[in-house]
Amino acid sequence: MKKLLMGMAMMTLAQYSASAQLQTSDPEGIVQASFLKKISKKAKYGAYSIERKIHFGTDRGIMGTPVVTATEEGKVEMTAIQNKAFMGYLLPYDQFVKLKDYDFQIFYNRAFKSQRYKPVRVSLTDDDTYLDDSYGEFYGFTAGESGQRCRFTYDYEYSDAKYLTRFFFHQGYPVKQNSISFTVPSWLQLDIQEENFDGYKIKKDVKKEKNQTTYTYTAQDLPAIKEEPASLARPYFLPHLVITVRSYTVNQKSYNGFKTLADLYAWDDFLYKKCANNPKVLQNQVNALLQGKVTDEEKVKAIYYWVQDNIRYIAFEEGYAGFVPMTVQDVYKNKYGDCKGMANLMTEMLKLAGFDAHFSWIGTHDIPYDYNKVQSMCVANHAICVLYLKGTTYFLDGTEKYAPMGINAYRIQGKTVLVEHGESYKLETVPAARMEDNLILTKAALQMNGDTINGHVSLTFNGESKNFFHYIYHNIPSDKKKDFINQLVTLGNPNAEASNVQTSDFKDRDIPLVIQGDIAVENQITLVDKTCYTGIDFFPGSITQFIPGEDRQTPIDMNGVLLSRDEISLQLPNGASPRFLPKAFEASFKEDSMQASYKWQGHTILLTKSLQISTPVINTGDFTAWKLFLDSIKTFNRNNISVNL
Amino acid sequence: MNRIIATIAILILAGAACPGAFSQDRITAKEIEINNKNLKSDSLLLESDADFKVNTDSRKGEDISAVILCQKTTFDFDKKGLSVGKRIGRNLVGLLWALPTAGLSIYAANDRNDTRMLVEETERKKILLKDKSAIENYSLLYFRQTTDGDAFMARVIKKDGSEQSVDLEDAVRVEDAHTVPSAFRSYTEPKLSSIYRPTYFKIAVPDLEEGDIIEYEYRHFNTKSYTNNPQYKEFDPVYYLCNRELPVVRQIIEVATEDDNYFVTYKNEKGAPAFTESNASGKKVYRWTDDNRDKLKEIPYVDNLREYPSIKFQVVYARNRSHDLIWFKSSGDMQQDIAVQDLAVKARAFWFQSGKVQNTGDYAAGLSEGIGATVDNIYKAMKKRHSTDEPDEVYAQKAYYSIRSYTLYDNWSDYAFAKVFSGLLIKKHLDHDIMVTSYNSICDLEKVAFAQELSWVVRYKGKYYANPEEHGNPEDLPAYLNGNASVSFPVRVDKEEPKTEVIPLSDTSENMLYTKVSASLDMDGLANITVDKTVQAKGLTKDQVADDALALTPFMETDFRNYDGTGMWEGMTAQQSDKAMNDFQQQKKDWKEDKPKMMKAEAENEYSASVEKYIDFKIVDDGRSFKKRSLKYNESFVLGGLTATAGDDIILSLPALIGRQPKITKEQRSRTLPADVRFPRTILYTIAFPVPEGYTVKGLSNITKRLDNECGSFTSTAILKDNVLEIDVRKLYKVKNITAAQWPELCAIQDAGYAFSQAKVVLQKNTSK
Repeated sequence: MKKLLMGMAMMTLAQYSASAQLQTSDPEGIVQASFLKKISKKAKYGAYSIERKIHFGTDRGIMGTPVVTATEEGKVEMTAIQNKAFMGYLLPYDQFVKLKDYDFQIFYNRAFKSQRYKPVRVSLTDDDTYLDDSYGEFYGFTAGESGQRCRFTYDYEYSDAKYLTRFFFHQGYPVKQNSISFTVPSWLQLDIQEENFDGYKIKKDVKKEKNQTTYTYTAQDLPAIKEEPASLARPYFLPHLVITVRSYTVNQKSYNGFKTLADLYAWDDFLYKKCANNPKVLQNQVNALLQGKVTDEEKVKAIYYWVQDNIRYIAFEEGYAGFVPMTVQDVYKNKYGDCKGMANLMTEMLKLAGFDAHFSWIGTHDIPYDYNKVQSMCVANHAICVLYLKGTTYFLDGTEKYAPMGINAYRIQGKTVLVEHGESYKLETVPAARMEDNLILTKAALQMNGDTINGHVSLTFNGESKNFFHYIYHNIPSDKKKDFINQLVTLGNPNAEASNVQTSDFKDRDIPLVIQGDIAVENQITLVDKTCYTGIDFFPGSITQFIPGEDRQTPIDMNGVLLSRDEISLQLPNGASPRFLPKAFEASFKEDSMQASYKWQGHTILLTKSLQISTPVINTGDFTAWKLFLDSIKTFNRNNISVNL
Repeated sequence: MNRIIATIAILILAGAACPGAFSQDRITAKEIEINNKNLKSDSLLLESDADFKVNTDSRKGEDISAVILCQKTTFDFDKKGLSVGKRIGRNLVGLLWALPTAGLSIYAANDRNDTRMLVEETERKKILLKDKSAIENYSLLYFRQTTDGDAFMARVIKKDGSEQSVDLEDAVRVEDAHTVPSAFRSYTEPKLSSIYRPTYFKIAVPDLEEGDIIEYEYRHFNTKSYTNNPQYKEFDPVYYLCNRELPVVRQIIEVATEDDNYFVTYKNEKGAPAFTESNASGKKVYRWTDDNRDKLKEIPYVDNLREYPSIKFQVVYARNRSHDLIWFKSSGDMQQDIAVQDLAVKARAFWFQSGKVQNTGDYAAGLSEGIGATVDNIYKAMKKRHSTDEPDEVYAQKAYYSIRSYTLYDNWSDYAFAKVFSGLLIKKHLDHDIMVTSYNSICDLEKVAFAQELSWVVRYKGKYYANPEEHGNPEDLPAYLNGNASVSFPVRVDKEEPKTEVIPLSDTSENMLYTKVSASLDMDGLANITVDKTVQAKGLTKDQVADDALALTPFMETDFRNYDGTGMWEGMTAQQSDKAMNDFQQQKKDWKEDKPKMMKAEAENEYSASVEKYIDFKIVDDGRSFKKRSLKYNESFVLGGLTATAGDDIILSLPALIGRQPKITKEQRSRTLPADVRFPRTILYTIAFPVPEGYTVKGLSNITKRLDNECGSFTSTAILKDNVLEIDVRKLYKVKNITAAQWPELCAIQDAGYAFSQAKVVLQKNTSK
């Protein structure tokens, strides 16, 4: 509380103690503010106009041959919609995309005036990365009144147009007009792929001139895109352009950019080969791991699981380190690396063991592009090892700790994989996700004893849910693991106590994970005269967390497919019989569905439930149907049973 | 399911995880060279240190994540100025600020050189990593390179005993020092601020496996500045619990000094070992060693410093070698409890020597000027407002609220408050007493060792005036003073002996939290309950709810009314106040949007249910004025998840509307330590629920309970009146302190409350006859 008050006091002081930027609003700004307010009512500021102009040139590349370079001139005009709006713009850059120049101007007395103070340099490294070269220059100021304007201008230089991959139109604030133009000289074959344009007002102009053609895309009236929970990755639904240099001519000689997938592969492979592996240092370790292993599968697992268990994820991504794997000797020595390092290590270890293993590139679930359709650096953000063994292709991911051989993480399922094969490549596809592969089975055999319910619970996890369990479990300190397991056995019910808990061997990745134990549940039965009310649907389903709010903008991504089955039985005391059992239930939404039924058999009430999630993505247009589906599940979840004693 | 797994895991891990840090530039060759140079002149991780010979832990069992095999923290106090190099550096800083400070900063920068005490602090840790979680926690180490002499070294000791140094070549600068885990920050390091912005690096530890030992040591040089050359100076006391976040095989604290004018005063409690004093290599060394401690357990209602073995110590500098300690004649004396009467005499002496002692420690913390100047300024303002013409008691109240207008924004020490308030009373020649007590969460009065452990209160005409902090009123006594033994003396300097007495313990009628709930069932789906809730808190219960209730509300807007101020912007020029007012209007607008979101999240946490819609929140009385001391607020929202159906019958979790109740786990039931519930109190709830037409409410006997014992009581009744179900709940905590023998009685009260909150009532549909 005091910190908030201090902040308030400081804010108050800041207004009159330091020199504030000189600024005035003007009629033009006020009009702009009103337009922006129509787009996003609650926004504090917006961009009335964003213009980006891309030009191309050439320079000598890392391989010694000419490469296409690019420059981007940008101009962003922002307007305060509300009073006291803090407006700012961040210019990200790294080793390959350099910020050559920038200026920040505030409108004052009929003109924009350049500001003399420097921007704030911020690191844009995410929490998962140990080191990279992503920075940003940030300019901002507090606009005193609605209608006050500022302008950002900048020049970027792309040392290689390979890194000029995508342009989006939307921002985190409303935009009246966003235009991007590409002036493509005649010596350059540039591919501009339009993604997700349907439903958006984006105009394309093509202006042909003697030695160049200018393509201009202009999008209008773009609302602010908010960060929302469980949001589908933006490239799936926001309009954007994917840029690919296909080929170019310099001094009458023709060069391929990424004309075909083979060219993209050649570039990836070039970077891959820059890593000077010395696999000999791994031989002793490989030999030790293979000791006593008989079958090929045993040998592969020994190596795969060793990499998963012993190599921590620590990512160095500065400059070319973001593309060139760390050498196997360094990864092995440090016992840490990123996905490239782990894939590199695993590949070399498997090769030493005599297996047909290959370093491979892949895009995870966040990336919608397929190598068959898009040949650009933005297709891949991950590396794995592909193994060919006895006619089966295995996708071995060192970053997926505890994933068993042959089971792929959801985030790579269905994705195309670019597999290194020396001078050539192969394209494989990770099998698509099947809900049956991600199974959660809950069985509970319960008895009603007075006002307590006792029984035995068994949980079985297989697939992604098993991997997720392991990931959480092994990161919990040992003295807290027991509590975690107990809470799973009690299905998170605070009124239940677990005892006699047993588990499958957690060290064995290849078997389903089973946790079971006895539970005693109190405060679960309401007795009214000779009637008991209770609920035995302990696991009502966390799917209802994905109900979209009224003003939700972005599609929902549940990030997984799932098959969940519950079998709960409740044995009644002698002489007791059900007074009310809920009717059978069924509801569906596309390929998602839930079925449940209560049955009375002998002395036992049996609840069977099955939840299938095969459509994890809910588009905004389907929200109404989705909410109906969830509401019907919520209604069913509220069912209790009543029993006559 | 993943969400449940993750949620459970988050609850388990709360507080245990280290935050991630932004990475920045790599460490430069020069920075590595500096570290190496500093190591060369004074190495770390010395093999010769016999304390660090231990490499194993005898603990059996798999439920141990990591073990601190040995941890040693050393402080070397030496009142010397800085090196020449650092002086130049400081002048650069002075130059930067010279313009706005009209050159004074340069002067101050140099002047301070003669009043700085340099502390060399090292910490060496050797930790056995037994599971993956421990590996993750120590995968990254952090080190500082900010002052001349800072150094760091680390190594991994493999299971086979071989050692691998951690090469700092791949270290990366940390952009935000706030993200550096506290394990790598020294005790004597200044707080992070715009003035103190240290450079930290992080380094990924290579080749770390379960069963390995990570060992690291850092050396920091920190300085403490004073405004003049002191004769006597106290460093902040250090409180050290023997039981830590991990099991410990051995832990050591050493305080060393070449200068004879430094010494350590300490007190060891609950069986913790004592310091030993020796001379080594021309230094006086105080050493504390403690062996074999289990991990600190999380037990509810425990004051750790009171109940667990601990040592508290303070480093003191006194030019006069007579060791004229304020409270004790000698360090040896400190090991005994101080006779309260003796403490009373010393406290009075301390009070009246304030001018002399003010610079010896941070007693006047929070004041921007000296005590006298602060008193004069406030009095002057009060005079201008004619508050000085008011009747004496009203004057005292307004003086109190005038001080609160400061403590609302700044933390004042209790001593600073008492001195200033007393000064204001003296201005009007109003006789009053000064009361001195301890913070009851730390220790009892007879166990006080340091002046910093005392809390100061003023009593005027039988009424108590304690540090108001943000929301206090005259006569409010915070929980940490409640029921404490104290000493008092009149402020008139005469021969009257100080008295010992007990500060009143407020009772269950003075501390009351009353929640009135009107709830109605949404008949359209039978899924939601609309709740209208009014909360009224008085006494110490107000302190428990005030922060959350008043957060994001403009309560400070009317603060000036309590002391006849003219407005929130008093003292500003017209232009300044215009701007400030505009800013504040915008702030209020933001708060209006944010407050419902905050309260929605709180309600969801309180009721473990979803808030389908948060309708309104309103502060009725903010409880910050003398005449309206109770806090009262109202909120309304729609709750889902509290209803179930069985055919035509509806099962309602109406009792859940009393909010989350403490649940005593099986492991917590057996207990050897006493419990401190902070203060006696009454918690009342009334829930009114109109029974929908066509239904009969049943199961009322399930929610009718009565339990009464020495520790407390829990009573709940449910009656139907004019077809409105009225549920009344009354929970009492009768006492503050509960012995271990009484613990089962408190458990019974908590069990009753918890069981009630989980109970349900049934609406049975009337069948037509």
